[in-house]
Amino acid sequence: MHTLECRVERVVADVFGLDSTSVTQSTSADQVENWDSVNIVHLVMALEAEFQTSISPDEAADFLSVQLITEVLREKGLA
Amino acid sequence: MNPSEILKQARELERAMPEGALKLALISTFTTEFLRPYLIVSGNASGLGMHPWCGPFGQLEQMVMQNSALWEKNPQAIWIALRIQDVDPSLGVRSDILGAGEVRKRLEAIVGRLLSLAKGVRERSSATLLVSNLELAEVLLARPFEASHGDGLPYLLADANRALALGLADIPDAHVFDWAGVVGAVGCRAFHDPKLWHTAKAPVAPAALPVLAASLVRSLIAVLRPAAKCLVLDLDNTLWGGVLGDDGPEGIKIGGGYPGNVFLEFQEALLGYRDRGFLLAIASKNNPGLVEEALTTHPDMRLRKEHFAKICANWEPKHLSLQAIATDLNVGLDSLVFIDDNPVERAQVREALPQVRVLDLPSDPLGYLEALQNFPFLDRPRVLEDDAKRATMYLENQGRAALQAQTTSLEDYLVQLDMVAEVGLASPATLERIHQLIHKTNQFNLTTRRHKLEEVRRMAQDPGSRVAWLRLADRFGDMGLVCVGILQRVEPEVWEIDTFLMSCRVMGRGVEEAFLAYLAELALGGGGGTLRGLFAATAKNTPVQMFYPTHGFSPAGGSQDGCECYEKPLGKAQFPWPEAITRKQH
Repeated sequence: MHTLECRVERVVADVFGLDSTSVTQSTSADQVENWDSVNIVHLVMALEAEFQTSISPDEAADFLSVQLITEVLREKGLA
Repeated sequence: MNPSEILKQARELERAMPEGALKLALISTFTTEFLRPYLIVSGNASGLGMHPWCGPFGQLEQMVMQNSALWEKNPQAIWIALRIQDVDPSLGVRSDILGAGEVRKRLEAIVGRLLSLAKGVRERSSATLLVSNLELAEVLLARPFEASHGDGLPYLLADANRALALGLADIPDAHVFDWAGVVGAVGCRAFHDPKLWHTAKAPVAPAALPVLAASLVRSLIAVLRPAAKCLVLDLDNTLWGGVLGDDGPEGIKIGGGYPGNVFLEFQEALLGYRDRGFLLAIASKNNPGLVEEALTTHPDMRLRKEHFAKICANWEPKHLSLQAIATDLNVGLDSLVFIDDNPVERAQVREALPQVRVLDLPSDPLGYLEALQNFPFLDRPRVLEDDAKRATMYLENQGRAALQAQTTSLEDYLVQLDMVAEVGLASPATLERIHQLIHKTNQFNLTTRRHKLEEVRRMAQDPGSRVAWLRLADRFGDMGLVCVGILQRVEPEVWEIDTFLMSCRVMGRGVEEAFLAYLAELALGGGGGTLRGLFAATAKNTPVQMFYPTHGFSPAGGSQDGCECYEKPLGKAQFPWPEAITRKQH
């Protein structure tokens, strides 16, 4: 439950109001109705708090699927 | 809580939010969307459910001054938040080249705009209005010597904010929201998030959102709900260090060096609350003689015996003292705030009397002041003269109680009180106090109609209505306005009593007969032949359910909106003025 993937999935579920069991690495923007600009800001705030890191606007531009989010965070050395 | 947890909780709360919860509209020059979940969670923590609605940013006049989504929502509370940085971005940064004169002019224009918006809201609705004031904290961070000049930005801003406060004071139910104060409390660097601002036009940092939300919720609670009325205090290790029974009056720690000075500061702060109209009382497990000695003789004691409306020093469970205090001071248990350093006592009171609000003091007295300052139920949006005099009035009441013990009959007692009642119709000077009574009075309130200030003003000016008051003084002092009545001519010869309320402090003296006589006079003077009284039962007004029958009214059948109707013909001698009360016409 504490792997990077699990933590990202949990945050995504909470931010977008999704059932935690239905969120996987392949969950993406085109599947989630409220994956909009407001919620992406909420997502960035939540990830920054969860991982105690700062996410740049360029990094946030890649936040189109859970897998991409996980990769961005892994690249920041948070694995 | 993490942002994702806040979002989750807000979502759950919103799903279960009752339909009648407060409709709050946020009208701003910046994005308020991210504040929404924090408002819902913070509101819930303080018992305030709400449906916050964020207007599109940067469209203040478009929302307020015409038919718009704002008015379709019909909110009960509106927050107008304008930042200088959004509407005049160069004002702060380029103030030197603009010069003080031009900066002043532009600030005046902004304040003028805010006041126009406030008036625009008031013309269209009676929604409670909060208007943010102005700050340029970020600009000033880089200009430490700005404060050295008499015309420096801090002073120009203060002038503008003062003008805003003065202007809003003329608009009913409109208040400044001290945005500048919140920024100061959080600290400018911590409050702002440049990344969030530049990418999402959201000026408030994630860590500051809960603080801003809590502050807004606190302001809303203060303007929408009656504040607590009485702070009930423990003594040992709450008002002084040590235990009076063990250390004696000379040994308790108050004043002087540490830790006595910590308690002294706490006592001084409590005195400030008394100044603002809150009553102070004591519920202490202590020997009453020792308590009296400590309060009267200790040289450094800031709170003295006369500052307390009631002192319960005994060995009973504290909830009994709290009940005695509520009864004696004639306030509801839900008007009490219990302040005690002992968590066991606090838990016992919470369990026995869930309506009493309990302040959770931290274990370290150094944190007492902050705990008190953060408690959201002790705010008074406007301090009215009567509030400041209230504590003195209770002292005078004690004089009245002593008199009662000396006289032999109720009639003698009433006559010896030398009561003088002044009656009159509402005026600008009395309107606020009338409105305050309309909202605070629960027991002696026949219909409990919580008319907004604007409605009262309108009825006062309407030739088919009368808004009346009665002010009572007796030999112990002036008790201020104690009765409010609203009459409406509902048929050519029928005047209906929309509102009849009286402050509990003057129950049992015949004042209600006097006021009824005055209302009857007004109705008769308005061409009335019949006076109609309405009674709407609530949990609190059972004592007056027989008021109209007792005064010779007959049931008039039919109830309108759940009100029982009664009628009595108007005419000479139908409504006598009580002999024990002298009448003074306003």
